[in-house]
Amino acid sequence: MAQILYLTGQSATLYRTHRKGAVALARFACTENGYGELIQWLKSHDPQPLAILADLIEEEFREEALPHTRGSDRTNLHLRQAGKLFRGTPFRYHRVVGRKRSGRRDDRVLFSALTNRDNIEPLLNALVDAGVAIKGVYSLPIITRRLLKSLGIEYLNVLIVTEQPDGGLRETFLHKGRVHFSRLAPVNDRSPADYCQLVKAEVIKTRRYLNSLRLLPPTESLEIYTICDSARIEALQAMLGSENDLRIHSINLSQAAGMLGFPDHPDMQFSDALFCFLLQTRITGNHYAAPSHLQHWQTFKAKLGLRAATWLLAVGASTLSGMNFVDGLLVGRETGQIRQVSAQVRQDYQQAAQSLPVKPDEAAAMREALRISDRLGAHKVHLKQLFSLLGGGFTRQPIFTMDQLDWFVATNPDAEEPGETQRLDGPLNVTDTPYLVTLVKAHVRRFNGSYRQAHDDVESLAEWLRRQPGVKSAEVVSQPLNTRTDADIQGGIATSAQKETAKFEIRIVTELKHEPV
Amino acid sequence: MSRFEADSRALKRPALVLAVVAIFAALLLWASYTYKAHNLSALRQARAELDGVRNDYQLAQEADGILRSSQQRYRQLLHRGFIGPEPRLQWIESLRETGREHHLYNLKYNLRQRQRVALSGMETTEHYQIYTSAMQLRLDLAHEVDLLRYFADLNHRKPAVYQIRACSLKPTFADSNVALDAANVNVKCELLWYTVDTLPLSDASGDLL
Repeated sequence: MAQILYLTGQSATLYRTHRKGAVALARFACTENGYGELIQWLKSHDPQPLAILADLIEEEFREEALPHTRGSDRTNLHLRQAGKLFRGTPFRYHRVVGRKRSGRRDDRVLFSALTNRDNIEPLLNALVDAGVAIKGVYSLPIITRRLLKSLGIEYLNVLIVTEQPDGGLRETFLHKGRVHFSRLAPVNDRSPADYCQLVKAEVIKTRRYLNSLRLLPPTESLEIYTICDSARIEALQAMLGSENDLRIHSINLSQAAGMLGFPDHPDMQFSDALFCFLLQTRITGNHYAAPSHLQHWQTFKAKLGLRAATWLLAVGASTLSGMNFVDGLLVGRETGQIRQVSAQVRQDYQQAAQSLPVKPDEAAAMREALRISDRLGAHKVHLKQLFSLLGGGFTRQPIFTMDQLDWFVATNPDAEEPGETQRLDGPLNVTDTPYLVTLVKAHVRRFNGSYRQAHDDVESLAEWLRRQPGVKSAEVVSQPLNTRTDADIQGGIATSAQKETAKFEIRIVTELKHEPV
Repeated sequence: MSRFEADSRALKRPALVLAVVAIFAALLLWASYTYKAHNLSALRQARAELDGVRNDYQLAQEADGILRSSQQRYRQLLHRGFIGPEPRLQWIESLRETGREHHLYNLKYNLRQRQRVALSGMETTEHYQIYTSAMQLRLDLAHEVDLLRYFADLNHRKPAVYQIRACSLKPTFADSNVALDAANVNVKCELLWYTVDTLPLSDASGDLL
């Protein structure tokens, strides 16, 4: 819902628009009394922001080429130029409508103004003094371009002709869909036939004017769309049948309104209701009103924003707080239930504990002590088994004599020393030792100098050890003669006085069984 | 034309209302969040209490079974001096008596100071702290079989929980020149003696039973 004041030179008609149309509420004369009545009317009804749609005869359009600029520079330049072009009025508007393709590629800027400030200034002052929020002053020709898309008009040069109340024939020229020029010709209430003659005469006049302004090259065609009632359309079609030099397309006003989303538009010649409807179909920035005229509207919007923020804050805070309080209540209820269960379990515990000879904690401590003990004694070294294994091996090979036997428990079978206890940053860390590593150093008794034989015997011993149960590996660490290619060999044939030796070393790894203590 | 002009006097009242509502909203939110946080904290505490009481109850239910299955072994460990202060005198006496009975040619020991121990996989214990004392043992034996007998007898006496970590055995005779009245084998062993003692804050004690 919006309130639009349709302003012509003689009258101001108040329209109320909605999603499907526009309704005229009251009409006021453009006099001091008329403005007074208008204010009275507005005050007696719901105070709503008011948009003013100006359809005035003294509205001028100029197109200028200005250097291409951006941002505030552009605004300042265009404002200055608008001031130069229309010195006598503050109701000025500017808009870039294109850019030249050659030379400096200047911007083509459309300037327009309501050149007779007396047509509108008294009304605006009266409304501002009465505290009416004015949304803006809008130009009817500028919003005419909105008709093109809805009516499917895609021509390069288009002249839209409409009849306005208070005796005006509005002709708006659009090039490439942008308004470049508009004029309002006076027209008296005439018959459809007279209307046709007037349209023809005005169109020819306008075309010549456009040619003279170089807005329309003489070689280019101009598509003329007249929007009027059925009777005038019939008359126009009859006229067009005999004269083909003008490319006039006539559109029924009520049908056009229907295509724009205003289905109940009456079949009449004046299109003021349609333009009011057209204005509210999109959010449109103010064209002509000065900031001082928009003061109440800005205040209205700011108030609205503050109220909306207040409500939003109140509702949001209430909702969130409510949720928190409800959550808190639910949590409190759950806490109560848990405490009840705790009390019950505590009671059960006390009953169970009373029947025990020791405290439950002490029983747990007992269990822990046993677990530790089990763990420490899990991998026990059975010396008898080790000695039996070695004794068996050396009995099979009586030529060997043991020189030294070293063994240690280890975490992994490749360990070189019993290094399973290590100090970290706290206590000594003791790991599991499931392997027993045994190093046997021995020599060949009464060695006859045959290293090959000695090697075979040592290998035979190692092989036998590997086959024994519990032995994970048995490897010869050093042979009687080191035949590795990365080592030097020194020696010779010894005399009978010199004794040759054949020492070797075997490393045996056995697995310690996990057994309870 | 984009300049903003508004009647600041007309905006004063809604701005004031907004400010008041904002203050109330902030207070309301603060109060509700505090209330919720307080109740959540109480809930967490109640849950922790319940978990604790449940654990105690479970322990009480298990305690009977523990007593039946482990009491005997626990007493043995207690008797062996595994639980409580280190029975060093008992250890040394056991070593010496065993050595004397086996007519060892020589017995030397070196018991080092006690150290705290963490077993891998049992880094945290609830009731006990594990301790160990390393010992180096030197034995001169007539025959290597004496070593077997020595440790078998030591085990029989059950002086404590110990672990033989490493041994080195070296015959002192050459080929077949075995002495009949002297030591023929030198042995060096490394042992770890283990004990556990109650943690300072625990109620558990070595004299449970």
